[in-house]
Amino acid sequence: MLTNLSQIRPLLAFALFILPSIFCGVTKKEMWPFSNYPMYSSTRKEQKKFHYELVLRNASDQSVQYDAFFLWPLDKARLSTRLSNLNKNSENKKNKMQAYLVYYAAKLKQLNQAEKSEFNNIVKLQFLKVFPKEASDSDETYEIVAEMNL
Amino acid sequence: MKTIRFLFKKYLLENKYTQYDVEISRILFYASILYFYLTEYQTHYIPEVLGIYEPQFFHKWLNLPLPGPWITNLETFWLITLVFSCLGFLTNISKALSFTIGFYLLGLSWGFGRVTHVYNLSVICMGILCFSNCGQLLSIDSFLKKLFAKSLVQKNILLRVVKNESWALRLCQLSWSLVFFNAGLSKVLNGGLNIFDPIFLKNMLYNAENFQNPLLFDLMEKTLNYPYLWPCILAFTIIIELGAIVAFFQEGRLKWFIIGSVALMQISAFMFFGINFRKMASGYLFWLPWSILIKKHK
Repeated sequence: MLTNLSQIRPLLAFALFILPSIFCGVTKKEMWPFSNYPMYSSTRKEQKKFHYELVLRNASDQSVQYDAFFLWPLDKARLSTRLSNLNKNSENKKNKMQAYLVYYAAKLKQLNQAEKSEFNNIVKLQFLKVFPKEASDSDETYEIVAEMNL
Repeated sequence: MKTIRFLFKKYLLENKYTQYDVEISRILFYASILYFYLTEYQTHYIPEVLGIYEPQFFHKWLNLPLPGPWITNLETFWLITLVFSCLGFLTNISKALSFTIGFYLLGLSWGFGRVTHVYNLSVICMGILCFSNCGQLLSIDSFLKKLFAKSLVQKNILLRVVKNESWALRLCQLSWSLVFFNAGLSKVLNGGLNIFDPIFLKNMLYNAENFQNPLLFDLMEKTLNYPYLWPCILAFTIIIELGAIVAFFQEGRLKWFIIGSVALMQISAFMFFGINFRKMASGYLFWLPWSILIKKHK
C-alpha cells in the first residue's frame, strides 16, 4: 500500500486539490477554485453589437472620469458582460440594474466621505447601452437603460 | 495499484528538489500573493449593499457568510497570516489560516460577477502547502527552535531531522501544468477548428476592450493580412498549452522550453489583447531549483 505515514499527506493533498482540478477539466464544470475555462466555450464570429457602460454625470450633465478601482469587484468588460447576461437570464433585470446603481452610489458616498473631491458634484448615475460608431457617424450612439438621481 | 504506486513515487516523491527549494519557494510565493493583493486586489466591498451578491459554488453550498462590516478586519487578518507564512512564524497555523481565509476572500468576487481564473492557482497552491511541513528551514520558527535548544547536541538533532517535503513543490507544479492543459483542452473541445478562423481573431482583437496600445493595434491589423500567420501562432499556443502537462513529467530542455513558451504566451496576450496574467506569476516560482541557482551564483 502507498499509505505509510509519510505518504498520507501527499496523497491527501493530491486527492483534495489535483483530482477536483482534473474532474473540472474533463467535465467542463465551473467550480471555484478548480474551474475550467468557460470563456472559451464558444468562438465569437461577430463583432459585438453593443456594450454597457456606467456613466457618472455632474450638475452640468457632463460625464466624469473614474479609475478602474471604482468598478470593483467588476471591471469595464465584466460589468458589460454581467449586464448583458442579466438581459438574457434575469426576469427582473431592471431591478438588478438598479441594485448595481445603488451599489455604485454607496461607493460614491464612501469615496466622498473619504474626501475624494472629484466625485462631490455627481448628481446622476446611468447605465448606457453603447453602439460602436459606424464609419459615417461622428460619435458613438447610446441608449440610457437605467438611471439613478443622487 | 502497483502502477499508481510506481507513478506516485517516481513523479512526486523522488525528485531533485531539496527542502531549501521548498522553503525559498514558500517565502517568495506568499510574498508575491501579498504584493499582488496590496497593489491590485483590495476588495473595497460595500457590505451594506448586497442586492447584487449571489454566492457561488462552495460559498453557496457551505453556506459561508455574506460579506459584512467585518470584512475589512478579515482582510487585514489575512494579510497578517500571509506575512507570517512568508516569514515562517507559527508556520503551520499561518498557512492553514491563509488558505482558509484566502479561499473565502478571493472566491467572494465570483458572487459579484467577477469570474476570473488568475487567483485559482494561488489558492490551490496555498492549500497544497498547508499539507506540507514547510517552515523547517529559513523561518522564524526554526530560528527560535535553535535559539531555545539547550545544548549543541539538541541543535544538531534539529538540523538532522529536517524532512524533505519537496513533493509539495511537485504537486504545485502539477496544478500549474493542469491549469494550462485544461485551458488548451477546453479550446480544442469547445472551439474546434473555429478558433483558427481569421474572422474570430479579428473580432477578438477589436473586442479587446482594454486594448490600449495603438502601435500594437496597427501591427496586429497588418499581420491579419497574412492568412497563415495567426492560425500558426494559435496552433502553436494550443500545442504549448496542452504540452504544459509534459513539463511535469519531463526533465531538461523540453521542460524549460515549455515553461518559457507559456510565459511568452501570457506576456503576448497582455501586449496584444490587454489580458493581464501578472497574478499567475506566483505559479512559476515552484519550478525553479533555487538551491542550485544560489550555489551557482556563489
